[in-house]
Amino acid sequence: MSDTEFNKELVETPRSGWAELWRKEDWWAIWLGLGIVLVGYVLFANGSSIKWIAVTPPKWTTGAQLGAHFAANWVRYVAQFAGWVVVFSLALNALGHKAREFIPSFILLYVLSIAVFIVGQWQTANYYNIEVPLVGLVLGLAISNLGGLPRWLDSGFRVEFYVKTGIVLLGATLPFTLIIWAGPVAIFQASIVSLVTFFVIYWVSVRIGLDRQLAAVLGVGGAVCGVSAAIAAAGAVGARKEYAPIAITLVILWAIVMIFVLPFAAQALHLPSGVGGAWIGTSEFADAAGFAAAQTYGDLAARGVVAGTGDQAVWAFTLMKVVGRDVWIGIWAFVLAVVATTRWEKVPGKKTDVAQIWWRFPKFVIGFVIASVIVTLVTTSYSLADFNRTVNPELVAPIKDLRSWAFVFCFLSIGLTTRFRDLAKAGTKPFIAFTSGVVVNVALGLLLSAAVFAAHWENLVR
Amino acid sequence: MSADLAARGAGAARLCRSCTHFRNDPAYLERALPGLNVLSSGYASVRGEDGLCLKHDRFTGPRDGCADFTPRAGR
Repeated sequence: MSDTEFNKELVETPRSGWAELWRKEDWWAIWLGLGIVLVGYVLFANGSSIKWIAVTPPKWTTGAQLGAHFAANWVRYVAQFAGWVVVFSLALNALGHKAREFIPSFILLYVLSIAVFIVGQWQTANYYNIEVPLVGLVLGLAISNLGGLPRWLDSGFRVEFYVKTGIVLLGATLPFTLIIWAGPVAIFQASIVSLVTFFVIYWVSVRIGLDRQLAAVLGVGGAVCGVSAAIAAAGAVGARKEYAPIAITLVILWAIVMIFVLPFAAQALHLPSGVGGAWIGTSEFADAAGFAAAQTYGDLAARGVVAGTGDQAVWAFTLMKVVGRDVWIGIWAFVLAVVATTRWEKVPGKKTDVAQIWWRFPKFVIGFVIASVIVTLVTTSYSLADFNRTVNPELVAPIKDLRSWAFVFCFLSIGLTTRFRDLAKAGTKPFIAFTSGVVVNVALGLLLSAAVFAAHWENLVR
Repeated sequence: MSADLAARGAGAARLCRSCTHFRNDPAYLERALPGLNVLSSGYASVRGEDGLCLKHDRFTGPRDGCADFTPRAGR
Protein backbone atom coordinates (compact mmCIF):
# COMPACT_ATOMS: atom_id res chain seq x y z
CA MET A 1 0.00 0.00 0.00
CA SER A 2 1.39 3.39 -0.89
CA ASP A 3 1.93 6.17 1.59
CA THR A 4 -0.67 8.25 -0.23
CA GLU A 5 -3.25 5.60 0.52
CA PHE A 6 -2.14 5.61 4.15
CA ASN A 7 -2.74 9.32 4.36
CA LYS A 8 -6.24 8.93 2.97
CA GLU A 9 -7.01 6.44 5.71
CA LEU A 10 -5.66 8.39 8.59
CA VAL A 11 -8.37 9.58 10.91
CA GLU A 12 -7.65 12.74 12.80
CA THR A 13 -8.21 12.34 16.49
CA PRO A 14 -11.24 14.43 17.39
CA ARG A 15 -10.61 17.31 19.76
CA SER A 16 -14.02 16.70 21.32
CA GLY A 17 -14.54 13.58 23.41
CA TRP A 18 -18.20 13.65 22.35
CA ALA A 19 -17.25 12.14 18.98
CA GLU A 20 -16.70 8.86 20.84
CA LEU A 21 -20.46 8.56 21.08
CA TRP A 22 -20.71 7.65 17.39
CA ARG A 23 -17.12 6.65 16.56
CA LYS A 24 -16.64 3.77 19.04
CA GLU A 25 -18.41 0.44 18.89
CA ASP A 26 -18.82 0.41 22.68
CA TRP A 27 -21.26 3.30 22.42
CA TRP A 28 -23.08 1.78 19.47
CA ALA A 29 -23.51 -1.42 21.49
CA ILE A 30 -25.12 0.76 24.17
CA TRP A 31 -27.43 2.54 21.72
CA LEU A 32 -28.52 -0.75 20.13
CA GLY A 33 -28.82 -2.72 23.35
CA LEU A 34 -30.68 -0.02 25.29
CA GLY A 35 -32.79 0.75 22.21
CA ILE A 36 -33.98 -2.87 22.13
CA VAL A 37 -34.66 -2.82 25.88
CA LEU A 38 -36.64 0.44 25.66
CA VAL A 39 -38.67 -0.71 22.64
CA GLY A 40 -39.39 -3.93 24.53
CA TYR A 41 -40.51 -1.98 27.57
CA VAL A 42 -42.72 0.46 25.63
CA LEU A 43 -44.47 -2.45 23.88
CA PHE A 44 -44.85 -4.28 27.20
CA ALA A 45 -46.26 -1.19 28.94
CA ASN A 46 -48.84 -0.87 26.17
CA GLY A 47 -49.99 -4.46 26.43
CA SER A 48 -47.91 -5.79 23.56
CA SER A 49 -44.52 -7.54 23.39
CA ILE A 50 -41.26 -7.69 21.45
CA LYS A 51 -41.48 -11.49 21.48
CA TRP A 52 -42.96 -11.74 17.97
CA ILE A 53 -39.66 -10.70 16.44
CA ALA A 54 -37.47 -12.50 19.01
CA VAL A 55 -38.04 -15.90 17.42
CA THR A 56 -35.47 -18.71 17.77
CA PRO A 57 -35.52 -22.32 16.54
CA PRO A 58 -37.01 -24.59 19.26
CA LYS A 59 -35.75 -27.91 20.59
CA TRP A 60 -36.55 -30.61 18.03
CA THR A 61 -36.19 -34.32 17.39
CA THR A 62 -37.67 -34.85 13.92
CA GLY A 63 -37.31 -32.99 10.67
CA ALA A 64 -41.08 -32.67 10.49
CA GLN A 65 -41.14 -30.64 13.73
CA LEU A 66 -38.46 -28.36 12.43
CA GLY A 67 -40.17 -27.93 9.06
CA ALA A 68 -43.47 -27.08 10.73
CA HIS A 69 -41.77 -24.43 12.89
CA PHE A 70 -40.18 -22.67 9.94
CA ALA A 71 -43.32 -22.95 7.81
CA ALA A 72 -45.29 -21.23 10.56
CA ASN A 73 -42.69 -18.62 11.49
CA TRP A 74 -40.70 -17.70 8.37
CA VAL A 75 -42.18 -14.19 8.27
CA ARG A 76 -40.89 -13.59 11.81
CA TYR A 77 -37.39 -14.65 10.77
CA VAL A 78 -37.47 -12.36 7.73
CA ALA A 79 -38.61 -9.46 9.92
CA GLN A 80 -35.95 -10.19 12.50
CA PHE A 81 -33.25 -10.40 9.85
CA ALA A 82 -34.39 -7.06 8.40
CA GLY A 83 -34.33 -5.51 11.88
CA TRP A 84 -30.78 -6.68 12.55
CA VAL A 85 -29.62 -5.47 9.11
CA VAL A 86 -31.07 -2.00 9.69
CA VAL A 87 -29.63 -1.44 13.18
CA PHE A 88 -26.25 -3.02 12.49
CA SER A 89 -25.89 -1.20 9.14
CA LEU A 90 -26.63 2.09 10.85
CA ALA A 91 -23.97 1.45 13.49
CA LEU A 92 -21.30 -0.01 11.22
CA ASN A 93 -21.80 2.71 8.62
CA ALA A 94 -21.16 5.32 11.31
CA LEU A 95 -17.99 3.40 12.28
CA GLY A 96 -16.76 3.55 8.68
CA HIS A 97 -17.75 0.17 7.27
CA LYS A 98 -19.35 -0.09 3.84
CA ALA A 99 -22.98 -1.27 3.70
CA ARG A 100 -22.32 -3.01 0.37
CA GLU A 101 -19.78 -5.23 2.15
CA PHE A 102 -21.62 -5.62 5.46
CA ILE A 103 -25.01 -6.68 4.07
CA PRO A 104 -23.89 -9.73 2.01
CA SER A 105 -21.61 -10.69 4.88
CA PHE A 106 -24.46 -10.47 7.38
CA ILE A 107 -26.77 -12.49 5.12
CA LEU A 108 -24.19 -15.30 5.25
CA LEU A 109 -23.79 -14.87 9.01
CA TYR A 110 -27.54 -14.99 9.63
CA VAL A 111 -28.03 -18.12 7.52
CA LEU A 112 -25.13 -19.82 9.29
CA SER A 113 -26.58 -18.72 12.64
CA ILE A 114 -29.88 -20.43 11.85
CA ALA A 115 -27.92 -23.56 10.97
CA VAL A 116 -26.00 -23.32 14.27
CA PHE A 117 -29.25 -22.91 16.23
CA ILE A 118 -30.78 -25.90 14.44
CA VAL A 119 -27.83 -28.18 15.23
CA GLY A 120 -27.54 -26.85 18.80
CA GLN A 121 -31.27 -27.37 19.46
CA TRP A 122 -31.29 -30.94 18.15
CA GLN A 123 -31.99 -33.26 21.08
CA THR A 124 -29.60 -35.90 19.73
CA ALA A 125 -26.76 -33.35 19.55
CA ASN A 126 -27.46 -32.30 23.14
CA TYR A 127 -27.09 -35.92 24.23
CA TYR A 128 -23.45 -35.70 23.10
CA ASN A 129 -22.97 -32.27 24.78
CA ILE A 130 -22.85 -30.51 21.41
CA GLU A 131 -23.98 -27.02 22.42
CA VAL A 132 -24.76 -23.92 20.34
CA PRO A 133 -21.54 -21.97 21.16
CA LEU A 134 -19.31 -24.90 20.26
CA VAL A 135 -21.20 -25.59 17.03
CA GLY A 136 -20.81 -21.94 16.01
CA LEU A 137 -17.13 -21.83 16.84
CA VAL A 138 -16.26 -25.13 15.11
CA LEU A 139 -18.28 -24.28 12.00
CA GLY A 140 -16.64 -20.86 11.75
CA LEU A 141 -13.14 -22.25 12.27
CA ALA A 142 -13.74 -24.95 9.63
CA ILE A 143 -14.95 -22.44 7.05
CA SER A 144 -12.14 -19.93 7.61
CA ASN A 145 -9.29 -22.42 7.87
CA LEU A 146 -10.28 -25.24 5.52
CA GLY A 147 -12.00 -23.27 2.79
CA GLY A 148 -11.66 -19.59 3.44
CA LEU A 149 -13.79 -16.58 2.64
CA PRO A 150 -12.87 -13.28 0.97
CA ARG A 151 -11.44 -10.92 3.54
CA TRP A 152 -13.93 -8.16 2.75
CA LEU A 153 -16.62 -10.34 4.30
CA ASP A 154 -14.99 -9.66 7.68
CA SER A 155 -16.94 -6.40 7.80
CA GLY A 156 -19.96 -8.42 8.96
CA PHE A 157 -18.02 -10.67 11.35
CA ARG A 158 -17.70 -8.10 14.16
CA VAL A 159 -16.96 -10.32 17.18
CA GLU A 160 -16.56 -7.50 19.69
CA PHE A 161 -19.53 -5.50 18.49
CA TYR A 162 -21.86 -8.50 18.78
CA VAL A 163 -20.58 -9.58 22.17
CA LYS A 164 -20.85 -6.04 23.56
CA THR A 165 -24.41 -5.71 22.25
CA GLY A 166 -25.15 -9.09 23.82
CA ILE A 167 -23.68 -7.98 27.15
CA VAL A 168 -25.86 -4.84 27.22
CA LEU A 169 -28.91 -7.05 26.53
CA LEU A 170 -27.71 -9.44 29.22
CA GLY A 171 -27.84 -6.55 31.68
CA ALA A 172 -31.61 -6.43 31.14
CA THR A 173 -31.91 -10.02 32.37
CA LEU A 174 -29.67 -9.61 35.41
CA PRO A 175 -31.12 -7.99 38.57
CA PHE A 176 -29.24 -4.84 39.59
CA THR A 177 -29.34 -6.03 43.20
CA LEU A 178 -27.26 -9.02 42.12
CA ILE A 179 -24.57 -6.72 40.70
CA ILE A 180 -24.46 -4.84 44.00
CA TRP A 181 -24.47 -8.02 46.08
CA ALA A 182 -22.03 -10.17 44.10
CA GLY A 183 -19.95 -7.48 42.41
CA PRO A 184 -17.54 -6.81 45.32
CA VAL A 185 -16.65 -10.52 45.66
CA ALA A 186 -16.12 -10.71 41.90
CA ILE A 187 -13.84 -7.67 42.00
CA PHE A 188 -11.88 -9.08 44.96
CA GLN A 189 -11.43 -12.53 43.41
CA ALA A 190 -10.61 -11.14 39.96
CA SER A 191 -8.08 -8.70 41.42
CA ILE A 192 -6.19 -11.50 43.20
CA VAL A 193 -6.01 -13.60 40.04
CA SER A 194 -5.19 -10.66 37.77
CA LEU A 195 -2.32 -9.44 39.93
CA VAL A 196 -0.84 -12.92 40.38
CA THR A 197 -1.20 -13.77 36.68
CA PHE A 198 0.35 -10.48 35.59
CA PHE A 199 3.36 -10.83 37.85
CA VAL A 200 3.91 -14.49 36.92
CA ILE A 201 3.95 -13.69 33.20
CA TYR A 202 6.03 -10.57 33.74
CA TRP A 203 8.54 -12.30 36.04
CA VAL A 204 8.97 -15.35 33.77
CA SER A 205 9.29 -13.08 30.71
CA VAL A 206 12.04 -10.99 32.24
CA ARG A 207 13.80 -14.08 33.66
CA ILE A 208 14.03 -15.69 30.23
CA GLY A 209 15.30 -12.51 28.64
CA LEU A 210 12.28 -10.87 27.06
CA ASP A 211 12.03 -7.09 26.84
CA ARG A 212 10.08 -5.51 29.73
CA GLN A 213 7.61 -3.86 27.37
CA LEU A 214 6.79 -7.22 25.80
CA ALA A 215 6.56 -8.71 29.30
CA ALA A 216 4.03 -6.03 30.26
CA VAL A 217 1.94 -6.46 27.10
CA LEU A 218 1.84 -10.25 27.59
CA GLY A 219 1.14 -9.89 31.31
CA VAL A 220 -1.82 -7.53 30.94
CA GLY A 221 -3.15 -9.57 28.02
CA GLY A 222 -3.18 -12.69 30.19
CA ALA A 223 -4.37 -10.99 33.36
CA VAL A 224 -7.11 -8.57 32.34
CA CYS A 225 -9.06 -8.85 29.10
CA GLY A 226 -6.93 -10.49 26.46
CA VAL A 227 -6.29 -8.77 23.15
CA SER A 228 -7.99 -5.51 24.16
CA ALA A 229 -5.83 -5.27 27.26
CA ALA A 230 -2.68 -6.09 25.29
CA ILE A 231 -3.43 -3.27 22.82
CA ALA A 232 -4.18 -0.85 25.65
CA ALA A 233 -0.92 -1.79 27.39
CA ALA A 234 1.03 -1.51 24.14
CA GLY A 235 -0.24 2.03 23.67
CA ALA A 236 0.36 2.96 27.28
CA VAL A 237 4.00 1.89 27.35
CA GLY A 238 4.84 2.81 23.75
CA ALA A 239 5.62 -0.81 22.89
CA ARG A 240 7.33 -1.87 19.69
CA LYS A 241 4.91 -2.65 16.86
CA GLU A 242 5.66 -6.38 16.77
CA TYR A 243 4.84 -6.97 20.45
CA ALA A 244 1.05 -6.66 20.18
CA PRO A 245 0.70 -9.29 17.41
CA ILE A 246 2.69 -11.73 19.57
CA ALA A 247 0.25 -11.20 22.45
CA ILE A 248 -2.72 -11.40 20.07
CA THR A 249 -1.57 -14.80 18.76
CA LEU A 250 -1.06 -16.25 22.24
CA VAL A 251 -4.36 -14.90 23.59
CA ILE A 252 -6.33 -16.29 20.62
CA LEU A 253 -4.71 -19.72 20.80
CA TRP A 254 -5.21 -20.13 24.55
CA ALA A 255 -8.67 -18.55 24.54
CA ILE A 256 -9.89 -21.01 21.92
CA VAL A 257 -8.32 -23.95 23.76
CA MET A 258 -10.04 -22.80 26.97
CA ILE A 259 -13.45 -22.58 25.29
CA PHE A 260 -13.29 -26.33 24.84
CA VAL A 261 -11.37 -27.25 28.01
CA LEU A 262 -12.96 -25.20 30.81
CA PRO A 263 -16.64 -26.24 30.47
CA PHE A 264 -15.84 -29.94 30.28
CA ALA A 265 -13.17 -29.75 32.99
CA ALA A 266 -15.75 -28.04 35.22
CA GLN A 267 -18.23 -30.78 34.36
CA ALA A 268 -15.67 -33.48 35.14
CA LEU A 269 -15.03 -31.82 38.51
CA HIS A 270 -18.83 -31.72 39.17
CA LEU A 271 -18.75 -27.96 39.70
CA PRO A 272 -22.17 -26.33 40.14
CA SER A 273 -23.19 -23.93 37.41
CA GLY A 274 -22.35 -20.71 39.29
CA VAL A 275 -18.96 -22.04 40.40
CA GLY A 276 -18.10 -23.13 36.86
CA GLY A 277 -19.13 -19.73 35.52
CA ALA A 278 -16.97 -17.95 38.08
CA TRP A 279 -14.00 -20.15 37.18
CA ILE A 280 -14.47 -19.45 33.48
CA GLY A 281 -14.78 -15.72 34.25
CA THR A 282 -11.55 -15.80 36.19
CA SER A 283 -9.56 -17.89 33.74
CA GLU A 284 -10.75 -17.09 30.20
CA PHE A 285 -8.86 -14.37 28.34
CA ALA A 286 -11.50 -12.52 26.34
CA ASP A 287 -15.17 -11.66 26.75
CA ALA A 288 -16.28 -13.32 23.51
CA ALA A 289 -14.38 -16.57 24.16
CA GLY A 290 -15.50 -16.57 27.79
CA PHE A 291 -19.15 -16.21 26.86
CA ALA A 292 -18.80 -19.18 24.51
CA ALA A 293 -17.45 -21.29 27.39
CA ALA A 294 -19.88 -19.94 30.02
CA GLN A 295 -22.90 -20.32 27.73
CA THR A 296 -21.82 -23.90 27.01
CA TYR A 297 -21.66 -24.62 30.74
CA GLY A 298 -24.97 -22.87 31.29
CA ASP A 299 -26.54 -25.03 28.56
CA LEU A 300 -25.23 -28.14 30.32
CA ALA A 301 -26.85 -26.89 33.56
CA ALA A 302 -30.12 -26.08 31.79
CA ARG A 303 -30.28 -29.71 30.63
CA GLY A 304 -29.55 -31.02 34.13
CA VAL A 305 -26.10 -32.36 33.26
CA VAL A 306 -24.54 -30.20 35.99
CA ALA A 307 -26.10 -28.73 39.14
CA GLY A 308 -27.63 -25.27 39.12
CA THR A 309 -29.35 -23.16 36.48
CA GLY A 310 -28.23 -21.99 33.06
CA ASP A 311 -28.39 -18.35 34.16
CA GLN A 312 -26.02 -18.92 37.09
CA ALA A 313 -23.09 -19.83 34.84
CA VAL A 314 -23.59 -16.83 32.55
CA TRP A 315 -24.25 -14.38 35.40
CA ALA A 316 -21.27 -15.55 37.47
CA PHE A 317 -19.06 -15.32 34.40
CA THR A 318 -20.32 -11.82 33.59
CA LEU A 319 -19.81 -10.53 37.11
CA MET A 320 -16.30 -11.95 37.25
CA LYS A 321 -15.12 -11.01 33.77
CA VAL A 322 -16.93 -7.77 33.01
CA VAL A 323 -17.33 -6.26 36.48
CA GLY A 324 -14.28 -7.88 38.10
CA ARG A 325 -11.73 -7.59 35.31
CA ASP A 326 -12.66 -5.51 32.26
CA VAL A 327 -13.44 -2.24 34.00
CA TRP A 328 -9.94 -1.98 35.46
CA ILE A 329 -8.09 -1.87 32.14
CA GLY A 330 -7.64 1.92 32.23
CA ILE A 331 -5.97 1.74 35.64
CA TRP A 332 -3.63 -1.02 34.46
CA ALA A 333 -2.71 1.04 31.42
CA PHE A 334 -2.09 4.15 33.49
CA VAL A 335 0.09 2.38 36.07
CA LEU A 336 2.11 0.70 33.33
CA ALA A 337 2.53 4.01 31.52
CA VAL A 338 3.86 5.61 34.70
CA VAL A 339 6.27 2.72 35.31
CA ALA A 340 7.37 2.64 31.67
CA THR A 341 8.13 6.34 31.52
CA THR A 342 9.79 6.62 34.93
CA ARG A 343 11.54 3.28 35.46
CA TRP A 344 12.05 1.63 32.06
CA GLU A 345 13.51 2.64 28.74
CA LYS A 346 12.65 6.23 27.88
CA VAL A 347 10.39 6.33 24.83
CA PRO A 348 10.84 9.72 23.14
CA GLY A 349 7.82 11.98 23.53
CA LYS A 350 5.81 9.41 25.51
CA LYS A 351 3.39 11.05 27.92
CA THR A 352 1.31 9.70 30.76
CA ASP A 353 -2.15 11.05 31.41
CA VAL A 354 -4.42 9.97 34.25
CA ALA A 355 -7.40 10.73 31.98
CA GLN A 356 -6.69 7.50 30.08
CA ILE A 357 -8.42 5.65 32.93
CA TRP A 358 -11.62 7.09 31.46
CA TRP A 359 -10.61 7.04 27.76
CA ARG A 360 -9.92 3.33 27.98
CA PHE A 361 -12.91 2.46 30.15
CA PRO A 362 -14.94 -0.23 28.33
CA LYS A 363 -18.01 1.97 27.92
CA PHE A 364 -20.38 -0.87 27.02
CA VAL A 365 -20.33 -1.75 30.74
CA ILE A 366 -22.31 1.48 31.32
CA GLY A 367 -25.03 0.15 29.01
CA PHE A 368 -24.96 -3.20 30.81
CA VAL A 369 -25.56 -1.50 34.17
CA ILE A 370 -28.25 0.89 32.83
CA ALA A 371 -30.13 -2.02 31.21
CA SER A 372 -30.02 -3.86 34.53
CA VAL A 373 -31.31 -0.79 36.41
CA ILE A 374 -34.15 -0.21 33.90
CA VAL A 375 -35.51 -3.74 34.05
CA THR A 376 -35.01 -3.97 37.82
CA LEU A 377 -37.03 -0.76 38.32
CA VAL A 378 -39.72 -1.97 35.93
CA THR A 379 -40.09 -5.28 37.71
CA THR A 380 -39.96 -4.13 41.36
CA SER A 381 -43.70 -3.40 41.44
CA TYR A 382 -44.60 -6.95 40.36
CA SER A 383 -45.08 -9.94 42.64
CA LEU A 384 -43.08 -13.06 41.82
CA ALA A 385 -46.22 -14.70 40.45
CA ASP A 386 -46.97 -11.72 38.18
CA PHE A 387 -43.34 -11.58 37.09
CA ASN A 388 -43.43 -15.24 36.05
CA ARG A 389 -46.83 -14.86 34.37
CA THR A 390 -46.35 -11.61 32.44
CA VAL A 391 -43.01 -9.79 32.76
CA ASN A 392 -40.80 -12.76 32.07
CA PRO A 393 -42.54 -14.18 28.98
CA GLU A 394 -43.49 -10.79 27.51
CA LEU A 395 -40.35 -8.74 28.22
CA VAL A 396 -37.37 -10.51 29.79
CA ALA A 397 -37.43 -13.81 27.86
CA PRO A 398 -37.66 -12.12 24.41
CA ILE A 399 -34.69 -9.87 25.30
CA LYS A 400 -32.84 -13.03 26.34
CA ASP A 401 -33.65 -14.62 22.97
CA LEU A 402 -32.33 -11.59 21.09
CA ARG A 403 -29.24 -11.76 23.29
CA SER A 404 -28.83 -15.40 22.20
CA TRP A 405 -28.80 -14.25 18.57
CA ALA A 406 -26.15 -11.61 19.30
CA PHE A 407 -24.00 -14.23 21.01
CA VAL A 408 -24.39 -16.73 18.15
CA PHE A 409 -23.31 -14.00 15.69
CA CYS A 410 -20.31 -13.51 17.99
CA PHE A 411 -19.38 -17.20 18.36
CA LEU A 412 -19.58 -17.76 14.61
CA SER A 413 -17.56 -14.60 13.97
CA ILE A 414 -14.77 -15.79 16.27
CA GLY A 415 -14.37 -18.85 14.07
CA LEU A 416 -14.85 -17.01 10.79
CA THR A 417 -12.15 -14.42 11.59
CA THR A 418 -9.62 -16.80 13.15
CA ARG A 419 -7.23 -17.66 10.35
CA PHE A 420 -4.42 -19.51 12.05
CA ARG A 421 -2.11 -19.13 9.05
CA ASP A 422 -2.36 -15.33 9.26
CA LEU A 423 -1.45 -14.98 12.93
CA ALA A 424 2.01 -13.69 13.80
CA LYS A 425 4.58 -16.20 14.99
CA ALA A 426 4.76 -15.85 18.76
CA GLY A 427 8.14 -17.50 19.40
CA THR A 428 9.12 -20.01 22.07
CA LYS A 429 9.99 -17.60 24.87
CA PRO A 430 6.77 -15.58 24.75
CA PHE A 431 4.86 -18.86 24.56
CA ILE A 432 6.60 -20.16 27.68
CA ALA A 433 6.02 -16.93 29.59
CA PHE A 434 2.34 -16.64 28.63
CA THR A 435 1.68 -20.32 29.24
CA SER A 436 3.16 -20.13 32.72
CA GLY A 437 0.59 -17.44 33.45
CA VAL A 438 -2.19 -19.58 31.97
CA VAL A 439 -1.29 -22.49 34.27
CA VAL A 440 -1.23 -20.32 37.40
CA ASN A 441 -4.38 -18.45 36.34
CA VAL A 442 -6.39 -21.64 35.77
CA ALA A 443 -5.23 -23.27 39.01
CA LEU A 444 -5.74 -20.18 41.16
CA GLY A 445 -9.09 -19.45 39.50
CA LEU A 446 -10.25 -22.97 40.32
CA LEU A 447 -9.05 -22.71 43.93
CA LEU A 448 -10.83 -19.40 44.52
CA SER A 449 -14.04 -20.32 42.66
CA ALA A 450 -14.45 -23.91 43.83
CA ALA A 451 -13.01 -23.66 47.36
CA VAL A 452 -12.52 -20.18 48.85
CA PHE A 453 -15.68 -18.53 47.41
CA ALA A 454 -17.54 -21.73 46.43
CA ALA A 455 -20.60 -21.08 48.62
CA HIS A 456 -20.95 -17.57 47.22
CA TRP A 457 -20.95 -18.67 43.58
CA GLU A 458 -22.96 -21.85 44.13
CA ASN A 459 -25.79 -19.91 45.78
CA LEU A 460 -25.87 -17.06 43.28
CA VAL A 461 -29.58 -16.08 42.95
CA ARG A 462 -30.77 -19.24 44.59
CA MET B 1 -2.01 36.10 21.75
CA SER B 2 0.64 35.90 24.47
CA ALA B 3 4.04 34.30 23.81
CA ASP B 4 3.14 31.50 26.24
CA LEU B 5 -0.10 30.67 24.46
CA ALA B 6 1.60 30.80 21.07
CA ALA B 7 4.28 28.37 22.30
CA ARG B 8 1.60 26.03 23.65
CA GLY B 9 -0.28 26.21 20.36
CA ALA B 10 2.88 25.34 18.45
CA GLY B 11 3.51 22.42 20.82
CA ALA B 12 -0.02 21.10 20.33
CA ALA B 13 0.42 21.25 16.56
CA ARG B 14 3.51 19.02 16.84
CA LEU B 15 1.69 16.14 18.48
CA CYS B 16 1.56 12.66 16.93
CA ARG B 17 -2.03 13.19 15.83
CA SER B 18 -0.80 15.80 13.35
CA CYS B 19 2.27 13.83 12.24
CA THR B 20 2.62 12.14 8.86
CA HIS B 21 4.10 9.02 10.49
CA PHE B 22 1.08 8.41 12.74
CA ARG B 23 -1.65 5.92 11.81
CA ASN B 24 -4.66 5.39 14.07
CA ASP B 25 -7.47 4.57 11.70
CA PRO B 26 -9.20 1.47 13.16
CA ALA B 27 -9.53 -0.29 9.79
CA TYR B 28 -5.83 0.28 9.11
CA LEU B 29 -4.88 -1.05 12.55
CA GLU B 30 -6.98 -4.17 12.04
CA ARG B 31 -5.06 -4.87 8.83
CA ALA B 32 -1.68 -4.03 10.33
CA LEU B 33 -2.14 -6.18 13.45
CA PRO B 34 -3.14 -9.73 12.42
CA GLY B 35 -5.88 -11.14 14.64
CA LEU B 36 -6.86 -7.83 16.26
CA ASN B 37 -10.46 -8.26 15.04
CA VAL B 38 -10.79 -11.85 16.31
CA LEU B 39 -11.22 -11.27 20.05
CA SER B 40 -11.01 -7.49 20.09
CA SER B 41 -11.41 -4.60 17.70
CA GLY B 42 -9.78 -1.48 16.39
CA TYR B 43 -13.02 0.35 17.17
CA ALA B 44 -13.05 -0.44 20.89
CA SER B 45 -12.94 2.20 23.61
CA VAL B 46 -10.02 0.50 25.37
CA ARG B 47 -7.69 1.45 22.48
CA GLY B 48 -8.45 5.10 23.05
CA GLU B 49 -7.04 6.91 20.02
CA ASP B 50 -3.69 5.13 20.09
CA GLY B 51 -2.04 4.19 16.84
CA LEU B 52 1.24 3.22 15.23
CA CYS B 53 4.23 5.42 14.54
CA LEU B 54 5.70 4.24 11.23
CA LYS B 55 8.88 6.20 11.88
CA HIS B 56 9.75 4.41 15.12
CA ASP B 57 7.62 1.25 14.64
CA ARG B 58 5.98 1.78 18.00
CA PHE B 59 2.56 2.21 19.51
CA THR B 60 1.95 5.79 20.40
CA GLY B 61 -0.85 8.06 21.52
CA PRO B 62 -2.23 11.09 19.66
CA ARG B 63 -1.02 13.41 22.42
CA ASP B 64 2.55 12.10 22.34
CA GLY B 65 5.23 13.73 20.22
CA CYS B 66 8.92 13.61 19.39
CA ALA B 67 11.77 15.39 17.61
CA ASP B 68 11.01 13.53 14.37
CA PHE B 69 7.61 15.19 14.03
CA THR B 70 6.74 15.85 10.39
CA PRO B 71 3.49 17.64 9.66
CA ARG B 72 1.03 15.86 7.41
CA ALA B 73 0.64 17.23 3.92
CA GLY B 74 -2.03 19.91 3.67
CA ARG B 75 -1.64 21.09 7.25
